[in-house]
Amino acid sequence: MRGSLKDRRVNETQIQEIRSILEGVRTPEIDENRKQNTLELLRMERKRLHMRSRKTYGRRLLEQTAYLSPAAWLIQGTLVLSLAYGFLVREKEEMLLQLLLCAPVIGIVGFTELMRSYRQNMWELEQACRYNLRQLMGMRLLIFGIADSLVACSVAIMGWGTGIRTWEVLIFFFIPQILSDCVYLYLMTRFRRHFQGTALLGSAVLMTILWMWILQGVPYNPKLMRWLADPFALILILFISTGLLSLCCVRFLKETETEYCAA
Amino acid sequence: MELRLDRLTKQYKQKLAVDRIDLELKCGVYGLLGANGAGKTTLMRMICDIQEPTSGEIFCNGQNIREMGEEYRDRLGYLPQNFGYYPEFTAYKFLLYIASLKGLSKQQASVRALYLLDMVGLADQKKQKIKTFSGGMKQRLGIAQAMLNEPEILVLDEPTAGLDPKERVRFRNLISSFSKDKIVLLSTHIVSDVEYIADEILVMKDGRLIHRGAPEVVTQEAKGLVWECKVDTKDAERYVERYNVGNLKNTGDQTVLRIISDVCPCEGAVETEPTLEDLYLYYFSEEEDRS
Repeated sequence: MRGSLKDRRVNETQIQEIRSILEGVRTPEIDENRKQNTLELLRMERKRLHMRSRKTYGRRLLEQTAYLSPAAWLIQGTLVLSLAYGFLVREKEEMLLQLLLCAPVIGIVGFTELMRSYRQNMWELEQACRYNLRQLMGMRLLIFGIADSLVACSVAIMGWGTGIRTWEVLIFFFIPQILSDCVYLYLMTRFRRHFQGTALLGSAVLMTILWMWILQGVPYNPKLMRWLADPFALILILFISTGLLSLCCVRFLKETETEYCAA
Repeated sequence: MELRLDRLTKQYKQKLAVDRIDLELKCGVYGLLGANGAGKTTLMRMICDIQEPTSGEIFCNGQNIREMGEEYRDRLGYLPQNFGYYPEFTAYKFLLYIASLKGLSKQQASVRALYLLDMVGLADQKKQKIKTFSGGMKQRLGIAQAMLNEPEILVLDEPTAGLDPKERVRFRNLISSFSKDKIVLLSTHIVSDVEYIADEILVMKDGRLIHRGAPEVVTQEAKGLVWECKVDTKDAERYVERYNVGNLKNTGDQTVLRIISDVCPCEGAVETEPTLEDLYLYYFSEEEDRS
């Protein structure tokens, strides 16, 4: 106890000493030129660092997914469920025709989201952001491209259990979907913000009628089915379709950068 | 920070919207005045890299903004005239969305969004959907989103449209506090909004910049053109038809008119000190009537 009191007095003495030393110390006068130089260097460094670090593309994609309309996912989910139900109750040929009916429709869900920027007059704000409208459209295309591919895979998997082969899913669902998307992209590039709502829906209906007209007899035509089942024919059709889709996407994104606000 | 416009031109099919504008902007508040169709919005869109000019270039600190791309847009904050929104978004979610497009991290976005909502007086409405907002509330949200990324260049197209006087004063104070070391360019029809806070006024007519200068200097252009006179109320209508009347005050049998005219409008008219609004009326009253 006596020892700790003595320690405390020593500490207080030391503190007093330090205090008196510090009171005698004056901060040096800073030369005005040096001060201004330092401030200028700080400003330059701040400007250099102003640009925020880039987020990874994957991270940006995930962020954007959170801002898409829940209704879009709901509609896609409903369509997939209706297909699942169809697989349970329908005959193979009927099911193939149902796939044909749904293929153009599943595509427009993504496109209504794509055109949201124009529909809600947000395009101007988005274009002026760091990740501008072109990049935003690209992300939305990719998100729905991935979603549509997952839907196609789900449909293929569901089909295995009911005797519908993967190539049949490709011919009656995936490829009509891709080619319908090409048509929508072309029309959107051509007519831009005028192509939405009723026009989009009308195009989907026309595409559905077109595919039905082209392919409705195919499930009942064994010779044609054999031809379509040929791997070479399949690969060729798939290659051309995806090539066309890529071209349409690139063109659409390129046109997004040109002006769309004519006087 | 310096923004330089070099012979900037925008030609639409039948109309020359912006006609060879040369302009240098340094830090400060610039008020862009002009009638409808003068080219203000087109000019602002080109500055914000939304529209490509027909000819001419824009340089930011000596670099072409087209070449800078993302780097330039990172320094920019923009509020368009017709400001859209996603109706199902809440105010907070909307700011987070714009912040994600501006490259802010989630944490930065959250902090800035809450701070700006408080600053524009929407903190209590942050969880409300934008579709339930009044016009003034939407406008305040628009101002907030423009400032999310602490821009060095802030471009506001008719920012006070729909704001009541109290909100307009708040907005003026906000801009004044924000404008240090930054370029703020704002266009408006409400002349008093720029008169008090602008360091420089830019007057635009038919796509051209016809005047620029401090408000008090630019206002002097209208010196000798503004008159006040008292007329019989029954004759007031005749004066309104014949002259450019800036203000009309009925005091019973007599009406006090504030007239903008090259010549003395009537006996007893007294020349009076012009305001920026008088200058605006002098230049743009014909365009306003046409529109």
